[in-house]
Amino acid sequence: MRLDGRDLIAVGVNHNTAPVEVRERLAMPKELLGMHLKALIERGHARETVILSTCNRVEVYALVDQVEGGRAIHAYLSAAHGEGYSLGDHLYQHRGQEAVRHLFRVAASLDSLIVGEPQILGQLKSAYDVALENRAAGRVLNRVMRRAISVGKKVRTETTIGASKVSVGTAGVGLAKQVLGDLGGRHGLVVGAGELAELVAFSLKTQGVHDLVVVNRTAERAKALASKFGGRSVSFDAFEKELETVDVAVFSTASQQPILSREGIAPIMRRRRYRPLFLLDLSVPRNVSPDVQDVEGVYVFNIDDLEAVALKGREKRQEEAEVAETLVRTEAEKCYRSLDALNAAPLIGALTNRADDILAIERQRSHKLLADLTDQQRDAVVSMNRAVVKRLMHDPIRMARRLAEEGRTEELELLAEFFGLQIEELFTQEVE
Amino acid sequence: MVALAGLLGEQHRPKWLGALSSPALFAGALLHGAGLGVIIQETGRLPVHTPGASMATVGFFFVVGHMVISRNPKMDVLSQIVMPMVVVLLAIALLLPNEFRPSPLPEESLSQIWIRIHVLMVFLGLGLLTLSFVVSVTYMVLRRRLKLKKLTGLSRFPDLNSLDRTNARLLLFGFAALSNGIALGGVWWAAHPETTSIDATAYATIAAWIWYAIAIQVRVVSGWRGKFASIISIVGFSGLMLALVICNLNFSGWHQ
Repeated sequence: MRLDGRDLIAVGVNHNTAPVEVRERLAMPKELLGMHLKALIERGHARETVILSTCNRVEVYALVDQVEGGRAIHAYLSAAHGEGYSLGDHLYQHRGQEAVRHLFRVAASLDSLIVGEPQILGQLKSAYDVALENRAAGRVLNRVMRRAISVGKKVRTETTIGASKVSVGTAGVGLAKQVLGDLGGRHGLVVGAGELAELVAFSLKTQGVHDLVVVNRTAERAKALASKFGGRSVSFDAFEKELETVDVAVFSTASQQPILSREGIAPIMRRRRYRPLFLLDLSVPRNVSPDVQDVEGVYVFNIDDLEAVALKGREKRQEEAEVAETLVRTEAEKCYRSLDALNAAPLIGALTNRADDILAIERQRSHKLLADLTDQQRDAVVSMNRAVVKRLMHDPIRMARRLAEEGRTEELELLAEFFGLQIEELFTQEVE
Repeated sequence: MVALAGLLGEQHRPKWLGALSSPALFAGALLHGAGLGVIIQETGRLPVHTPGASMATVGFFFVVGHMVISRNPKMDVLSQIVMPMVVVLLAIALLLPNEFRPSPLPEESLSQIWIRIHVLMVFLGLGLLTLSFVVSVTYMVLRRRLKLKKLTGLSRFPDLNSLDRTNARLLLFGFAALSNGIALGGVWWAAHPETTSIDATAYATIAAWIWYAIAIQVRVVSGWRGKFASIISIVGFSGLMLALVICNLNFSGWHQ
């Protein structure tokens, strides 16, 4: 099938369009991503697709049928959120060049809650890897995703957008200080041992948190993180016990259900004599049930709440962000234009194959004539023939690329016919 | 001017108003203090002979206490409540009856050092408890904003923990001063049973003292703090003020 850049869409929700209550119901854990990718392709909603699911966004990048557009993906996401539910205004959709630009902005961390944070690039790579494993990414998304990752790195190296000290960790610590004041000598608990947990653990330690306890379902990872920050690890089941003594607790696990409820925290707070407890829940879906906030002395904040703190840093980085935006826009335009060049690929492949076939046949025919030659002389003749064919094919191949980039489809078809090839057949063969 | 600066807050007031408010507050407190000094010099005691003068004296201790805790720049947000309250207190002081009513106590009793300390301690205690009331209101406002996650503009507030600790100290010192004042008054009254009986104002003050005593006891023994301590302070102070105003206007006795 011939490619049109407008077939590429980005559909999803993020921290700007949907609160955590909506995002957590859409969140797709890594182990289920493959199932969703296959479902989208098998049901014919997309020809190629990559799903990016992080705590701040759930986005589907897909190559779709232009007529159907992204409606099927809209419906799929709404169904994933809940039976009979429409995501309505929470969903956004970008198409063609805008979709490419959106992806590049995401990769460059310009669309992040905390602009410039480095985690998103790793998350994007991981999402792309899952798509590759499940054969969900094809020639279009391969090109766009690889370019996005490369642009993400470029923005980080060529601008100082990532140099800011504002991170999820510092924003969380800022909120903790609003409740508890100076964190020096306080006791901290980190539930989970992922990248975010490590980031916050680092910020807590920097602020002088004296006793840091790490809890994780995998005990080895908890131990590793604890030893990194001079803390101690305890078994996962013991985290509620630890809540009786700590002042700050950070939750960042992949649990699909809340692990701390109002019923769980109420007796703990009674035993604490309602001494203030700051809970920072960075997980999506949330680890801390929302009604925990109703318990006296408990202050619960989630990933969305960090936005207010992060805004201060965002203003300071506005200038750098503008430089990065320009870079992203230019790269997105280039990448989008290059997508059309992919239309030349089947023709170029067929031309090269035709040339190789002719070479093989002629070598077979002249086999007897060359019998008296030494091996070295025979190789020289073969090499010479190859070089002649290559030079002959060079201009037609270059022209095919140019015609595809410029969208001159009729001339591309004429070129194919000139070599005795049918371009529509080539696209059909490629799909098969 | 200081009250207006406080009311508008750092975000909305013009820079010049903000810049002038601290010196104006200092000058106002200094002049008020000097005025009190002159009166003490002339009469030998604090000017608490009329309800209006009493209110103005409470206002003075209130402002001084505020100036002490505002050494922490983050406590500056308290000005938004303290300054308008001071204006209201002084306005009430002007509106309340200011005609001199001679005390039923003999003049030589009023000149005794114990009575002077009694008056000073009670008024110092009232000033500190007024400040505790302000800190408590600020605590409740900040707590509510944190619970409802209204996080913009939070940087203007001190942290919850600092407010709670400040409130605890003010309650403790205010209570200690009030206790000393009441104790001295009680001892003096016990030594002069023939003079007069306990009046309505004394009863109201003793009731407030019991209220604060229970609150402090619960805080120390049960460890309850934060919201609980703030509600205790707000209810205690509101009740005490209401009782004192009602008593001063409607009853007669040697405190009126």
